[in-house]
Amino acid sequence: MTRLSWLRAHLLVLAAIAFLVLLAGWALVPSLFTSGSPTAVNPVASLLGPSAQYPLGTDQYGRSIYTELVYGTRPALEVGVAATLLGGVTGSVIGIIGGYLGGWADLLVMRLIDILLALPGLFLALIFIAALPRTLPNEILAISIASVPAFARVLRGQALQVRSLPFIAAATVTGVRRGTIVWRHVIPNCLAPASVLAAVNVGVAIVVAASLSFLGLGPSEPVLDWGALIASGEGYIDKDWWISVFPGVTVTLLVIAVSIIGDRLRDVMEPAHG
Amino acid sequence: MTGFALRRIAIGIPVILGVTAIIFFVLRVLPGSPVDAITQGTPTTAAERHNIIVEFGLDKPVLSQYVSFLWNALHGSFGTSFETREPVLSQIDGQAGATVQLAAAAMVLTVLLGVGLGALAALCRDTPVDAAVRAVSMLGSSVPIIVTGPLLILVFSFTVHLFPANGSGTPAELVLPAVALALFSSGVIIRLVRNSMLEVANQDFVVALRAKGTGPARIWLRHILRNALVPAVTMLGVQLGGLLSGAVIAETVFGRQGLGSLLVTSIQDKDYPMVQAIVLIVATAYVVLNIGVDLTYAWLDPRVRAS
Amino acid sequence: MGEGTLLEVRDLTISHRGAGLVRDVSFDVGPGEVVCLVGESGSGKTLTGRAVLGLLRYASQLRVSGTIGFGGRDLNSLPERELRRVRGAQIGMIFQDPVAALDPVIRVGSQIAEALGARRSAARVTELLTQVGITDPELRARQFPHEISGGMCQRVLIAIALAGQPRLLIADEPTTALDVTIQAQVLDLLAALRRERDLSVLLITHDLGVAAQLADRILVMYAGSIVESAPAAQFFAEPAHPYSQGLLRAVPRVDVPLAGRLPAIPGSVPEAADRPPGCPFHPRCDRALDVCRTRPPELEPVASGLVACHAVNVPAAQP
Repeated sequence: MTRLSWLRAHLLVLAAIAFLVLLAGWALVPSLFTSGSPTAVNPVASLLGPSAQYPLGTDQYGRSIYTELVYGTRPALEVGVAATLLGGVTGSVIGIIGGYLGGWADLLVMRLIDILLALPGLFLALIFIAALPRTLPNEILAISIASVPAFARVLRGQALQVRSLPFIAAATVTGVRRGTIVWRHVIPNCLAPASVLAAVNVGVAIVVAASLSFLGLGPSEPVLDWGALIASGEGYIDKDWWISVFPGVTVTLLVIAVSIIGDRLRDVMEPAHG
Repeated sequence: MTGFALRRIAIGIPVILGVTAIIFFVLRVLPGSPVDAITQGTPTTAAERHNIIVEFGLDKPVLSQYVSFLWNALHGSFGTSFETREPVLSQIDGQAGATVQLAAAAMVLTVLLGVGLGALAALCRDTPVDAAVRAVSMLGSSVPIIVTGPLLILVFSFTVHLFPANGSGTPAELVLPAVALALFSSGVIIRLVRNSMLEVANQDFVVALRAKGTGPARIWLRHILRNALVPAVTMLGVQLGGLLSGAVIAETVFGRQGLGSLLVTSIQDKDYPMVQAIVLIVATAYVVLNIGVDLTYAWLDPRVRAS
Repeated sequence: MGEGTLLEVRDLTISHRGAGLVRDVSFDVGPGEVVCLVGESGSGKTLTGRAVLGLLRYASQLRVSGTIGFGGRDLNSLPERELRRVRGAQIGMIFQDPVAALDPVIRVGSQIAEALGARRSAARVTELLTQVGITDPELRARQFPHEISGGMCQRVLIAIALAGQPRLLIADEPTTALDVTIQAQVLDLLAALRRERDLSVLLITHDLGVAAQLADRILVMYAGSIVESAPAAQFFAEPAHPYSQGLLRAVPRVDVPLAGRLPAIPGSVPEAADRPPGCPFHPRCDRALDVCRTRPPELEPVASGLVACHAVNVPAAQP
C-alpha cells in the first residue's frame, strides 16, 4: 500500500489520535498553548464574541474561553483516565475471578454486578458524590465505582469463554498451576476487550464528570472545568452562545475521537466482528 | 411463560435488597457525622445535638437502623428530610409525575426513532440514506445531554421560538427535553436495528420465504423486522438506564421540577434521607422495568422461554 | 417448448466475477417425472436449483444467463412481480436444513397459512399437515420450529411447498441433515406425493443412495457442467462417464465382501477459477486422451442417455 492510500484509509483514526494528542498537550503544558490566565477577571473584555484576540470569545468575567478550555483539560483528562484505570482494573479482576473460577465465586460476582447495575448510570456515582466531601479524588472514586460493573460483566464473559478453550484444559491436565494459567493465558486473552471498553469508558467518564460539574456537584477545587463552563454559559445562551457552545463542541469531539479509537481497536483485536 | 416470569421476579428481589443495602450503608457510613449535615454548620449546643441524634435515631447501631429503614420503606415511609423536617415521601410525590412523563416520552421517541431509522437504513443499505442515518446516529450518541440541551434551546427556543425552554407543566415543555434524551439514546438502537435486520436478511429462512412466493413488504416487516427486534429489546433495557440518568441532567438543563432536580438539590444540601429515598425508588423502578424488558424479550423470541 | 415437458432449461450459465460456476447447463423435466441432479459440493447443482426460481437475483455478484422455460414463459427474464406468482403456486422448493428454513419466532401453522395466501384457514392447515404424515396436526400447528424435530420440520416444509398446489417441486438436499431412518420416511413421503399428485420433482443431492430410491432420470454434474444424463436403471447398471463410474465404484456394497480400501477418485473438484482447459475432469480421469486436455466434450447420445466424454469407448484402466 502506498503512503497516500494508507493515509486515506486511516484518516479518521489519525485525526482522532491527533486531537487527543493536542488535548494531552493542553493538559500537560497549558501555558504553551495560551498566554492568558484562566482565572484573572477582566471586566472590560466581558462577553466579547470570537475575534482575533479572543479566538473563542470571552465569558461574563472577561476571561478568554479558549484559555479556560485549555486549562480545564487537565482535570477532565485526569478524571477520565484515572477513573477508567481504577474502575477498569477493579472490574476486570472481579470479572475474571468470577468467570474463571465459576461456582460460588461466579454466583457472587454475578449478583454483585446485578446490584451495581440496578443503579443506572449516574445514580451509582451520585450516592458516593453525596456521601463524600467534594474533592477531585473523591469524584474519581465515585466515577470509577460506576465503571466497575461494565468491566466486570465484559471480562467475566471473556474469562468464561477463555476457560472453555482446549489449550486451557491441556495446561491444567499437564499440571500447570492455576495461578500461572491465569497470569499467562487468561489475562492476555482478556486484554483485548478490556482495552476496547477502556477507550470508550474514558470518554464516558469525562462526560459524567462534566455533567456533574454542570449540575454543580463537581469538586469544589478546581473550579474551572468544562461542565462548569457550559453551565455558566447557559444563562447567556441566546446572545452570548459561545460560552456554552465551544466547551460543548470540545467535549463532543473528545467523545467522538475516543469512540473512533475504540472502534478501530475492536476491529484490530476482534476481526470476527464483520 | 409464567414460569419464566416468576423466575425473573425471584432474581429481582435479592437484587433490590442488595441495592437498598448499598444505598443505605454508603450514605450512612461514609459521610461521617450526619448531625453536621442536619445542622448545616449552624452552631449548636451539646443538648441540641443530642436531641437531633435521638430524633433521627442515630444513636442506635447501624445494622438496626438499616432494618428499621427497610421496615419503614415497606410500609411506605422513607423518613424525614434533614432539610425540611417533613416526610420525604410527600415531597417526592409531588415531583415524581414530571419525571415519569419525561422518561416515558423519551422512551417512546427512542423506540420510534430507533426502529424507524434503523429499519430505513437497513432497507436503503449502502445508499446515501444509509450513510446519513448512520452518521446522524453516531453523532447523536456522542453528544452529551449537557451539550444538546443548550443547543436545542438555542435553536428551537430562541432562534425559532418554537418550543419553551423551561418548565414542567405543559406538554409543549416536554418536547425539547424528550428530544434531547431520545437523540442520545436512540443512536445505539438505530445501529443495532440496522445491523440486526441485515444479519437476519442473510438467514436461510428468508430464502425459503422468497421461494414460497412471499412479497418483499411482508418479508421485511413481518419476518425480518420481527426477528431483528429481539436483540434490540435487550439494548432498550440498557438504554433505559441511560435515559433515567439523562433525565436527571435534562431536568436541570431545562428547568423542570422533577425527581432529578430534587435529587441534585438534596445532594447539595446533604439531605440524606431524601437522596436515599429517590435513589431507592429509581433503582426499584429500574429493576422492575428490566424485568418487563426480559418478559418482552421472551415474548418476542419463543426460544428463550425454555431457559 | 416440447410437448409434455414441464421445465425446459437451456444454456443456463451462472458466473461470479467472470468465473463460470455453472456452464451451459441444459435439461428437461417432464410431468410426473423425478429428475435427480447428482454431484459433489462445488458441482453447481444447488446454484442450478436456486436459479430456476430466480433466487439468485438477490445475490448481486452472480450473473445468470440462459432460458428457464416453464408454462410457456422464460422465468429468467420474468419481472419480479410475475416470478413471485410462479413461486409457491407453480413451483415449490424445500431446503437442506429444515429447521433453519423456518422463521424461528412464528408458529408453524401460521407459516403454512402464509403459503396458502388468500385461501388460508385452520382446516386447510390441518389438512396439509395430515397429508404429509404429521399426527396430531392441531398441536403441531401451534408449535414453534425449535420445538419440533428435524424430520417433522422437513415435512412441514413439504406441506408449505405443497400449499400452492405446484406442478414442480425442487428439493435441495432434502435428507442430508436428517438421520438415516428419517431420511427413508421423507423419501417415501415424496414418492407417495409424486404418485398421488402427478408431481414432478427436481431432486438435488450428493447421495447416490437417495437418488437410487426416487429418481426416474439421473443428471450428473461436475465442476459446473452436466457430464452424463441417463435413465436411472441404465445409470446404475452401466454408467457411461468415467466420473459416474468412479462415483459408483466408491459406494460400499452390501452383497460383496469388501476387498481392501474403497476405490476413491484421486484429486478433488477444482475451484471455478482454476478449471483446467478441455474436459474439466481430465486431471482425475484414468483414461484421459490427448484431446481431453484441449477440447471440452459435448453431450453425445449413448444408449438411452447422453454423455460428455471423448473417451467413452475406452475401457477403464484395470485396478
